[in-house]
Amino acid sequence: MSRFDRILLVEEKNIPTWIEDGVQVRPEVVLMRRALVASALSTILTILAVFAAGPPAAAQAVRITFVRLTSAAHDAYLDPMAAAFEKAHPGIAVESIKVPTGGYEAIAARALLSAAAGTAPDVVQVGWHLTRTFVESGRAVALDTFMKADRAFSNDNLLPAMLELGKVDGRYYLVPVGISTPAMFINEEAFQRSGLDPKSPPKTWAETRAAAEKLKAAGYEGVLWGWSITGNWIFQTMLENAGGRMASDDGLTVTFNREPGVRVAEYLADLTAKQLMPVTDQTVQLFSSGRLGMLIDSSFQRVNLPKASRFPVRMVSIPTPDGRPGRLPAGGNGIMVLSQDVTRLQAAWRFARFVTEPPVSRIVGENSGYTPANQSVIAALRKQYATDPNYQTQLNDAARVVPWHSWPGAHGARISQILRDAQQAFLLGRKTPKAALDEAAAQIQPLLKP
Amino acid sequence: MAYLLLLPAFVFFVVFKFGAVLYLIPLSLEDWRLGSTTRAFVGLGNYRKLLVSTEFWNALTNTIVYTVAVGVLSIALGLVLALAVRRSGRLQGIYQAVFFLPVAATMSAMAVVWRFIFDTNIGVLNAMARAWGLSPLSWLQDDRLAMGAVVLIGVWSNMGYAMVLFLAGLTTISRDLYEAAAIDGASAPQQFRAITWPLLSPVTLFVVIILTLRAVQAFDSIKVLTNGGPLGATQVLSHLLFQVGFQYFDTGFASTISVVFFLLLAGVTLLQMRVERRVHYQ
Repeated sequence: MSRFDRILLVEEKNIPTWIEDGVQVRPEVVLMRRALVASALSTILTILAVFAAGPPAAAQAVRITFVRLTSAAHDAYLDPMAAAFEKAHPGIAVESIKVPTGGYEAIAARALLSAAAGTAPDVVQVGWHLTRTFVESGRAVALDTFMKADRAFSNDNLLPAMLELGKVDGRYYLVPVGISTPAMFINEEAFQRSGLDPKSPPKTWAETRAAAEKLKAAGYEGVLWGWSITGNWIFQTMLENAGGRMASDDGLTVTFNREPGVRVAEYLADLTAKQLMPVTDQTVQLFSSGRLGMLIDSSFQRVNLPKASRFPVRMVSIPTPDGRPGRLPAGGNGIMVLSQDVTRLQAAWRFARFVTEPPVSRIVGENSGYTPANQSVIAALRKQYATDPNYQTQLNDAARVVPWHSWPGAHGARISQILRDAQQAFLLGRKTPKAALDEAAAQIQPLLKP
Repeated sequence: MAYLLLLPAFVFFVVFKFGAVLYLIPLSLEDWRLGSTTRAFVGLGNYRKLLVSTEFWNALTNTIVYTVAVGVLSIALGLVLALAVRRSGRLQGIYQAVFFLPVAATMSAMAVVWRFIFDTNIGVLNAMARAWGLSPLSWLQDDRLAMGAVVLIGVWSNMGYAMVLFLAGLTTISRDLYEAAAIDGASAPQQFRAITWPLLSPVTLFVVIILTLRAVQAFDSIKVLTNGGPLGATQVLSHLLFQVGFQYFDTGFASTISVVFFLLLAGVTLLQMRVERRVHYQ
């Protein structure tokens, strides 16, 4: 019996009783023992674990572990979120395991490594693009059964587009914390000094290029399409807005090197060749230094960038080839459950469910650049921030998200790196746009197994 | 009794160091993705994959280039510094501390500082270039410059180490030899060639071994500054195996890289030990 079936059995056996019991989670001493047996670690580590958890009989609380990001920008919503959860659920304690560097990949590495050692964390903060990595590792718990059985959970609460993002092969794995979309940030001061009007920002690619030329003439760096951002997010955005796709509908044939993709690459390569775009991955540092006119980055930076900059920052929708509202692949993250035993699984689900409820959505909406998942909160935020044009841009954009392309099979991260190198090759002028994309396609195609 | 006292350390070493290294061998024969519940035995499949992997050969070449460049430059500069510092009289202590500081500093933190020095747009280096009317360079974003930048930092962080070892070596050379040579009319370069350099050779060999190991293991600076890029220009084996293991989650293949890396290092060390036997003046 695979671990996956075991989880399903656990779900079927335990959820009804648990639901009838109402909201309270009953901690069971049995589980501590079960966890010890399940642990594949040496006795030494087990003893350490018992010490760490305290005497099982005395501790009336379930403790769940939460592997998460940490930085000033992320702590701003994650700390209050964990605190609010503990307050609302006196029987459950959340132990945050903070991963300070390395982003989503480092979190995944940490969580998967613990899982391999038999001490999987209960909940993990996962970037959309890594959902598949977790699902294919066999460690992620599908949440469909919980969603159906738990009357306290309501699908209607959630922005439909967002919940869909956490679905893999028809099952829900990821509960959205917040989404971000690609957005354009404008240095208003640079615009004014270059004879541009920050109130009428460029809407098309051609206008963006023209604005970059004016900025360059005034001594600024023109525009930085954030090509280096995780998972080739901006390239995918531009490609989809040019009418292309990363791969065929079944995900098995790469298509990014066809005409629209080449057009995107040629547009970017031309910008860098004419020195209208710097080839750097230090997007935020460069923008906040004041030397850059336009930056296309994550809307998550809405809170961060104005704080880090000494000039007014305007956030607008990204330019598209023809100026019409574009497709916006969703970035951001959600909560995934990996719990190994029943009590902790139930507590972890509580946590995942809590994330979709209004209090957390409010925390996320007010303290981060993410758009939270709960619809009623989104409506409230829209009123609350009626005078903040940047926030309005974010909320309007968030309603139009499409999924971030997730490569099938086990090689998503490697494929990302190949694409990143391909972009860098044409941006630096080492290869022609067509050749760079074709070579990347030739390397990626064999990695896509049916 | 002596063995009994050694036992705890020995057990610790076997379990946590040797055991872990040995465990790499079975892992390298498997297709196992980090944390995955399934694993498959693939025999030498990963090794076959390694032999045709362009990223492995690229990383191996880069590792050799980096190690030789950092090794040679650090040793040469370390020796020059040692000779200069020894003549600096009262300030010797201060100079020693200044040049040794990078060795003692945490490399990952220093690398962050270097990133700001090298940054294309907001970096100190390019600000200086602009002030002197030179065109700024994309040190870390340009595949033709990045290796040079990383080597520079490697030399900066290692030459102090070589210097301290050479200084220690210099103090063991008897003053009498120099006095005798001076009486015979030997010039300073002649003294260096006939006395200093040959008598320093055991120290030099030791420095070569230590610096080779330090250079081969270089990871922090590359991780922080370039992530092995741009376009794989600074991809070294230690970073490649991190990337494959903890970013691509391809644990089996990463173990294969580790095993090969380990064998290469063992080979280099054995070679150096053989050379060492010939170098010692007794």
